[in-house]
Amino acid sequence: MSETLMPLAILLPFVGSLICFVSRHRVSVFTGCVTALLTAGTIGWLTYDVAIHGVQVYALGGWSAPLGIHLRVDGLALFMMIMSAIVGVAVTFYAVSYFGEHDAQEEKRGAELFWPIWMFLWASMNALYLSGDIFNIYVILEILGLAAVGLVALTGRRAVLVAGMRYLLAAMAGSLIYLLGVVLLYAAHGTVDIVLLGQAIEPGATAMAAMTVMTAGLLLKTAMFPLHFWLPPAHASATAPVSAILSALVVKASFYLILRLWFDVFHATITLEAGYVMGALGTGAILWGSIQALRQARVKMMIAYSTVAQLGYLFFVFPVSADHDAANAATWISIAGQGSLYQALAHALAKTSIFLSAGVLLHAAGSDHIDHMRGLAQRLPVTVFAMALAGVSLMGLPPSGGFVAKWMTVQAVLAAGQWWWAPVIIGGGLLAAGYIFRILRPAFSPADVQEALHPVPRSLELCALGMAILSIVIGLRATDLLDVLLIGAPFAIQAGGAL
Amino acid sequence: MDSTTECIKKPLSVLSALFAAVVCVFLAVALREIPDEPGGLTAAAAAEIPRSGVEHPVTAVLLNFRVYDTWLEVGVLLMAAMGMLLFQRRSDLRDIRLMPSPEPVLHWLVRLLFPMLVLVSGYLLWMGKFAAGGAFQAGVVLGSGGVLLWLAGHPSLTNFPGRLFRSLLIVGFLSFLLASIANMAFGQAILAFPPAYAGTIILILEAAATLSIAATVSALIIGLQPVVRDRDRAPIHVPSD
Amino acid sequence: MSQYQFYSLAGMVLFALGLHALVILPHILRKILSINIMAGGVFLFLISIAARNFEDFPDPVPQAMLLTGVVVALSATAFAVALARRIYTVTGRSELDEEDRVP
Repeated sequence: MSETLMPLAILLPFVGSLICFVSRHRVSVFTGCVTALLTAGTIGWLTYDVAIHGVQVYALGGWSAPLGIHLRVDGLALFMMIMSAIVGVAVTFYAVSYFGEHDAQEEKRGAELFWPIWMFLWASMNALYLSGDIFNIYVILEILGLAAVGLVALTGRRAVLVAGMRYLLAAMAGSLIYLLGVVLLYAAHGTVDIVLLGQAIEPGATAMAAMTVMTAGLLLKTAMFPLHFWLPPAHASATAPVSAILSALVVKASFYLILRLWFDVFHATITLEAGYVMGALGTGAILWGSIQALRQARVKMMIAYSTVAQLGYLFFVFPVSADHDAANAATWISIAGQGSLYQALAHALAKTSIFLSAGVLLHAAGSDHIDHMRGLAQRLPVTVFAMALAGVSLMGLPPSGGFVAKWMTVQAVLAAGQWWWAPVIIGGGLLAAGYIFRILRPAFSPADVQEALHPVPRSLELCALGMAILSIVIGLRATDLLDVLLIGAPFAIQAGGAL
Repeated sequence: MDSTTECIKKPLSVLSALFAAVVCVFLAVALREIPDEPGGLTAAAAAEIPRSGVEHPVTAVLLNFRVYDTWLEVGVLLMAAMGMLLFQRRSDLRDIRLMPSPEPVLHWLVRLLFPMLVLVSGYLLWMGKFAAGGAFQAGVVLGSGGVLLWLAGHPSLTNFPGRLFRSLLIVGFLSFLLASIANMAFGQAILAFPPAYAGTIILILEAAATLSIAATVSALIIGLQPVVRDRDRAPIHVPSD
Repeated sequence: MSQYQFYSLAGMVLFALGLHALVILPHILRKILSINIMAGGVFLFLISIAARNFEDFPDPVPQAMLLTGVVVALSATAFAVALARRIYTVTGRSELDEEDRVP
């Protein structure tokens, strides 16, 4: 049974999606919830299985690479799938109440299609993490992009459509640029299997060009500074559950792919300069994203720019790992990799919580302007508390998950002798504190006028709170999750897989 | 839509052209290192053709060795159909007005030609086993037939009730999914076709994909037409000039 | 220069042209077309790889990838056109401008 867990994690949400597509709304909602739980359960079981047996490879159709396509699961892929499953379940249950509240016919049409598209998106994310074939990943990236844009455009309002169009163009261009790199690699080595490519690759102009175009295309899809132009309007104008999915999960999928390619395919090609470019982009993202977040008047727009900033922390693993000839390099590369992935998880949980809270806010007060936050701490205590907790993790204060992640990253850059990134990481935390307090301060100050709030279903608030609590708790239980991450991962020291 | 509203900013244009030129040169340099010899997987594919159930190497890759890609490709097509329904706020095509048919000859001719299109589509599907052809080509021909019917004033897809219409969109994707589930039930790797039955299984999968591709392609064209709220209203009169 | 290199180079030029057009043209349909030209360039490169100095049969794997890629590009284009059409219906505009950037 256990060997079918990998394909099952892809098939289950696909089955759910098709049922949702042909069924009536009530059946879709039920199917969505059941599918979410089953998928999460499958991933849990797969985690248990991989923890015991280690890395697994599954030859689709019984054809082995290079002719066929392999599914492959290691700690890195598993970590990303666990992250998607946690956020996925929370968002699914939030969406049940969220879309249940709408009664306008036009909105309802959109809400009906949320379920099939969201399940399709989830299946394609699992497929992406499990795929061991770079051309196959191109097809998956395209599904992921279309599904994400579909979710953005769910409400069909003007702002959403234009933002969705920008997002779509960026996503399409990004995957094509990536595909060009795939073709270059096939031309040079006659395979598109990640493991085989990793063995065949040799430094040279072709490998360099492939690495550059694939990374550039994926940076565009990750919304890495300065290619982030499409992200803030798309993430801010979408509905709350969708914003959470996009900010927490979808941008990380293309980040994962960059990481996978740098470590597993291009490890022989990476130069220190290339690493420094990535570090500089990360620095730019943290500074620019945070400063823009400080200037926004709307909560959701602010959170969207915060995503641009928080993505920057993920990229310090690249300069650190580029210095792979030094003694002890394996140790700090491992720490940097863990720090980066932990940041991805901590940010996913915290950002899901804040976006879900912002949805509650919009629902209750009808607006997400920061001015309308006055006095909300007394009237929506659970939501404001959730925002504050998630904010702690974004700032990187102990004992949150964000703290563990940033702490590990600082340790790694110092050990690698690249001390100049450390002030950026610490300064980024201060800037995050700046924009988080911009929403918390009015929330805790007394309101001048008490406008009536629209009643909010309790389940919405609880989903947001649950994610916020998790974003703190993972800081206390970090070692358990990091053990999973290290199973056969490219930056596990004992496997000798480090650069 | 006219060209006067299209203002291209000069500095941006120059910068972008320079950037594109640099990209081009960079890629051209990379090309020089690529070996000019018949590498790739030609031999590997040729060796496995007898076990693939088809005779044409491209079809063997497309529908057996890398069938997972093809399955997901049908998924992208399904996603496009879902997107169209979402953007147009539709769950089926029934509220789309029929094209008025001012030309009785066209109306007649299409009715006569449509069975031919179905035949050609079926031929293309069957031919995929031996030569270039297959589900996508067959689906597009069939889909164009659907569009043609509708253009000539026949109901075509616009008469399908919602559930049936959406089932038609998913049948291609679903068939691959069912094949995978059947594989699991028999304890095989998913999308593994036993050589003895591979040809038949591939033909069934392709036939299902053809239906979905045809439905999707014609729905993508017909579905973008404006909605008529009142379904009982007669077709809009086209003024004659 | 061998035949395959000529086609590959042409593919690269198409790709770069499409990229340039995508950046500078504001009209949505033209942007979508630019992306299709980029795709055309990549596909030309892909198919030229399959045909380099073949003996009996050109490499079937890139050919299959090309067919997959064409369908994917077609689907994404249809999706984009549907969205563009909706934008035109709702806003009456068919260009992406700076003002739309911040809702």
